[in-house]
Amino acid sequence: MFDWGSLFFWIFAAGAIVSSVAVIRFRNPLYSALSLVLDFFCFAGLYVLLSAHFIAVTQVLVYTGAIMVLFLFIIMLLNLKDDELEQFDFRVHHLLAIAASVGLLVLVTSAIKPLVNMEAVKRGQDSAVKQYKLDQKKYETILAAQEKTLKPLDEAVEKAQALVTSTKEAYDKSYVSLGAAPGDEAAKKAMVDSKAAYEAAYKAHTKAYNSKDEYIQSVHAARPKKFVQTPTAVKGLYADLSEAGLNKVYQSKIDSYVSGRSTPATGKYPRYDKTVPMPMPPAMTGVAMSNEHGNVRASGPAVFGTIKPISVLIVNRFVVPFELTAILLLAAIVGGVIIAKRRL
Amino acid sequence: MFDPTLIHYLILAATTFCLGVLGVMIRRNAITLFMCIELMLNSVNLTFVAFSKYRVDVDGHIFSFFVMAVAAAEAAVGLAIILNLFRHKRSVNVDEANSMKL
Repeated sequence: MFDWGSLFFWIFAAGAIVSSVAVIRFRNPLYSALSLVLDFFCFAGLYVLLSAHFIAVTQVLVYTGAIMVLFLFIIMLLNLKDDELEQFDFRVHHLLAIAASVGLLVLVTSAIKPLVNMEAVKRGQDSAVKQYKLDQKKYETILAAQEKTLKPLDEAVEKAQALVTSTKEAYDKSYVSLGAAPGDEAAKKAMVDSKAAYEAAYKAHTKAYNSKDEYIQSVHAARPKKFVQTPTAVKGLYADLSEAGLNKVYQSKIDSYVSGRSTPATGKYPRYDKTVPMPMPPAMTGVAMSNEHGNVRASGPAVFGTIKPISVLIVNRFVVPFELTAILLLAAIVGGVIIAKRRL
Repeated sequence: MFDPTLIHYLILAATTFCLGVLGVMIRRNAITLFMCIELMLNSVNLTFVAFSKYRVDVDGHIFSFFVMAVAAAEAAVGLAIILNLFRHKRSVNVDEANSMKL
């Protein structure tokens, strides 16, 4: 099956690189700004591919919508004439700059490579498949031997069953005869004997039946677990990227936070006090929220990358950075006004 | 083989980051320089988001959200500075802004 997601990745990646080159290549900052708009759209597409829907929307609204409009506004305001633009004559230091950035790219790439050992991911999956095949083979041999092994067990059960039936009959008969002649010592002894025989037969039957059951259970247990392409954690990274798998893992993480088994910070914190589960806001868990009029359900479980978990995290765990960012933005507004107003 | 993995995203982010660095090094127009800085910030965001997906943890999204806020603040102040520089020097070439003196 052709995966459109990967095609879109290559389209957006090519678009991002080409428009990045265009940004630094155009002489006129107006063209650079328009290339940058295209670049930001490509990035937004990549964010969507990475299931970061909220970030993708913010990218388009904030970057492409607000910041780039500001840039274009300033470019128009300055209204640079053609002779005021920089000349793009090639100099030696350009060559040095290209060499330096290529060197940086090589450096960063060499740092990326060992970060995620995709070989290890593949190895893990291969070994899981191999193990499944081995189990399957073993199970097949067990299945082949099943009839042969089951036959004597069945026979033993049948035999024990027959013995139980016959001893039960004898027991009943002796009981009846004892009832007909109460006080007869011989009849009483016969009754006790037949009862003991019946009980022994019953026990033997139970044992035979249990051993047969045990064998059947062991055959069931030997059935190999179906191999599913579950997210394989390698160095804390997940190899599975499908949307469904992603949300499943995310939900299980949230469940573990809610039950107090781990915390959102690392997912691996030592367990909190078990009696004090980490409180999680209802919007995060998808648990019903209620108001004074009755129950209002939060819309389903938390979905990775959507606005709900992000906003809930911002107003809970990241509330201090959020406030600091707000102060920073306020300072930027005031600073921008002061700098632009002052005559040098 | 053509399925994008984490490595693809990281290498793409590194490439665009290095293009941004290159732009900062070779361009002298202050506005274009700023755009290259925005480009670098975006590449970092891409790295955050890619790691966020691969660790199944939305913390990276929140970080890139803050990066966007900082970029907005930086653009506001920086463009005001560029405007002032242009008023003073009649040019946005950063090579001409080589003196601390007015």
